[in-house]
Amino acid sequence: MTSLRVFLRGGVTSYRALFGWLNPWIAVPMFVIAPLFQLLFFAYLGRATDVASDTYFVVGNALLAASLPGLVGMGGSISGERAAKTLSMLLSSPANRVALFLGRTLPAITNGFVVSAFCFLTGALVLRVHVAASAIPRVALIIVVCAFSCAALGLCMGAVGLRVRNVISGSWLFVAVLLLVSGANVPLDRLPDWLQTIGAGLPLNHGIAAARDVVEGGTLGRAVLFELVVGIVYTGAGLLLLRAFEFESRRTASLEVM
Amino acid sequence: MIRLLLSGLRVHFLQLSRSAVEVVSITVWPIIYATVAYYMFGAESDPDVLLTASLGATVMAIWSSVAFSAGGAIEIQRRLGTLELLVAAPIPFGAVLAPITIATSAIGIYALGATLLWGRLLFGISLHFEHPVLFALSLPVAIVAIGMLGLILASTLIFYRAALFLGASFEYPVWLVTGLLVPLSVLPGWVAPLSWLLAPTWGMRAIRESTVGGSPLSALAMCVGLSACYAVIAAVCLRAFERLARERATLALT
Repeated sequence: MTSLRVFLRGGVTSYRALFGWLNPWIAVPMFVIAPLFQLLFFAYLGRATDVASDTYFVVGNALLAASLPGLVGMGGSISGERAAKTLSMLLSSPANRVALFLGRTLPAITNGFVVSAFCFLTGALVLRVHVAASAIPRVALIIVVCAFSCAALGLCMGAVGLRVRNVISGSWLFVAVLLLVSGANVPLDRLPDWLQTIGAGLPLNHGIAAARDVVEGGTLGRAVLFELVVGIVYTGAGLLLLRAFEFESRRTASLEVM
Repeated sequence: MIRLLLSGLRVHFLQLSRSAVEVVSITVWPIIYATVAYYMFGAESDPDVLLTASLGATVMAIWSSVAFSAGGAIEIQRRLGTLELLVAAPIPFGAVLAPITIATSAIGIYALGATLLWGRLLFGISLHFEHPVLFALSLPVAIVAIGMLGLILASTLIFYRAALFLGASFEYPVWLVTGLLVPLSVLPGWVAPLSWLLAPTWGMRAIRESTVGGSPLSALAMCVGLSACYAVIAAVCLRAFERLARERATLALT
């Protein structure tokens, strides 16, 4: 029961406290204006280059929007403990580490889902993209899975934040890489093999493909399972990294060193 | 005054250049956008189209740097504890602020180097400039014009609590309406008059026409004219801000 409380309430509290973007003065510009205009930018670029239809870009960029809270939010909510000087207290507590850190992914997933769903809805309305009502629950499920896999990569970034000073910039670099290799904007068959391979190992790639299939009338295929596996692998890696870096920080007495 | 502007520009440019985070983000993001554009346009496209995409990504990076930094330029001085000293100095506050926003624009020079080199090495894009002298003139004129647009952002977003982030949210809207990568012809008709008021439109036009051919002089003249207009608007806004801040004694408050 204690672990469950640490997971749920601890996660929400720390996310709210450490991710400064949840302030509406910041949340509206970063989670409403920016992703929506990003979607429009690439949809119009798609029209100019004749790459694909508006639907393609609405789906791709709406899912891509989940990467921001997932990567930057998660990265900040773990490395922020050190900046707030609460890391030593946190790590000296007897709380279950898995519950402690996984709890932080839950608000990031929720945040990613809301941002992504908002983008999907407004993008579809503005660009007059029709999505069958029957596809919406499946798209919602894919958004959840994508938000999870992004938060899982964010967990790894947060772990790295225990050893690296400026992890937020690293998270932003991943956002940039996802823009190119996730298939949100550039069709994967146009990318060289090595970029496709990198993309396949990162979040969103399979989820975006799955969502496009569903919007076009297909069923939930294996792609969404691949996306889930990517998320699970990054979650495992993130927890291992947290464990290793916690141990290393204790060994070298560098827990609070910025 | 000129010495103040030049030394301010030098100091802030060097300060930004020594920040690894600034230099990495100003070089990586345009490379990513240029690469996205290369693959969307098709790597086998007309070399001029790919070169224009590189230049478009560069101007995007310049605006991005300005939008991120200019919105919070005053806030940063406030955090550093230098705002009162700067406002109290016997020079117009705008003359202190302008070098900051122009410097954030000028570090776009790294973006230019990175995207052109990336395009050349990975995509074999030929770096042929139709009017090299005009290109050399277009770049600084565009940088100053975009920096002056940043000065307007800095002076008008003063009372917004998270100006840094609001400024950042102008990134994509301005990229979109100024035709840096997306031709204005595919956008709704009402966008074109809006784009005429924004310096990146003319800066990009000047850089593009001096590179692939055309007459960049009219675009250059527009950049100069807009820079002067922006300076006047920013000066009026800053004077009003300074008066209000003194009246309410809120200069140092966040």
